[in-house]
Amino acid sequence: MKKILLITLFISSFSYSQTLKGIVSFNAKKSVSDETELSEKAKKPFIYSYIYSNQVSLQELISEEKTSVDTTIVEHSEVKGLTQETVQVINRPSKTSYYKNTETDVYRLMFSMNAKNVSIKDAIPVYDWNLQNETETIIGYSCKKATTERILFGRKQYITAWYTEDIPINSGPMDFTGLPGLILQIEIGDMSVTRFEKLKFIKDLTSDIEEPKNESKILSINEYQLNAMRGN
Amino acid sequence: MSFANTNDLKANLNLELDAVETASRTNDDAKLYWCVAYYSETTTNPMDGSTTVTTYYACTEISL
Repeated sequence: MKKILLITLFISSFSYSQTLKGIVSFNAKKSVSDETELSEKAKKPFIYSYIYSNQVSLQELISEEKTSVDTTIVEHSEVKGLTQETVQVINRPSKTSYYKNTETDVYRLMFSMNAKNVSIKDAIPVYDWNLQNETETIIGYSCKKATTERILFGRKQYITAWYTEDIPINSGPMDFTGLPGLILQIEIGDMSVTRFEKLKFIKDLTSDIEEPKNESKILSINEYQLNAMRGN
Repeated sequence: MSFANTNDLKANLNLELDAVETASRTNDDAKLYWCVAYYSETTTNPMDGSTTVTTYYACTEISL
């Protein structure tokens, strides 16, 4: 734990005089409700842009997403005239932004789904990472494995991160930070995989990444969880 | 015809989570039901990267 803290302090004081840009994909695999495989339509990846500069990162949805409603009529194969209408609704957020400022310890998540805006502002979640010996190569970078767990919406999730010490910045997809290098892949149980598909360094260019503007009442992570579990 | 959440029915009827027809005997061999996922909603939450599927089945007792 002390080792992780020291590494984290080292990284947060590391002056990375470059801007990092990337493409991140999110692939859902299974339903958390009953752990069944999702339909092909529900598994369609979400694609995000990612930018990091001066301890600030912003991950924004760039794939065009729409909620879909498919209606079909099913006919019984043996009983003539017996039919039933089926409706499949797939809700996907049309707008999503993850913002992290590790200098000021600010985490923002904003998304829109079915015309409803959600704005979350809180401290950056802290994870108690266990560093493992396993390695894997992701988009050409040698990555090390780290694991942790969390409880959100009353559900325990087992998280696996793959980070690279070749890029010594304290950041990663979604709300994840706290490892001795950029997190290139996050696996949430066997439910989803979020990973960088591309990375590009832009030398001598530092960008000011602005905090997203509020589009609805700001909630903390806990307030949002409570609201969501109450069905609000 | 009866309507129910999939979680209540799946155990008894061995239903697959799909929007296609499924016919299966219950524990009571005298009855045969035809069950169709009449409504299924899939939602992805950016907060925790979870995808939730809620499926409701409509079941009709049939005789072949």
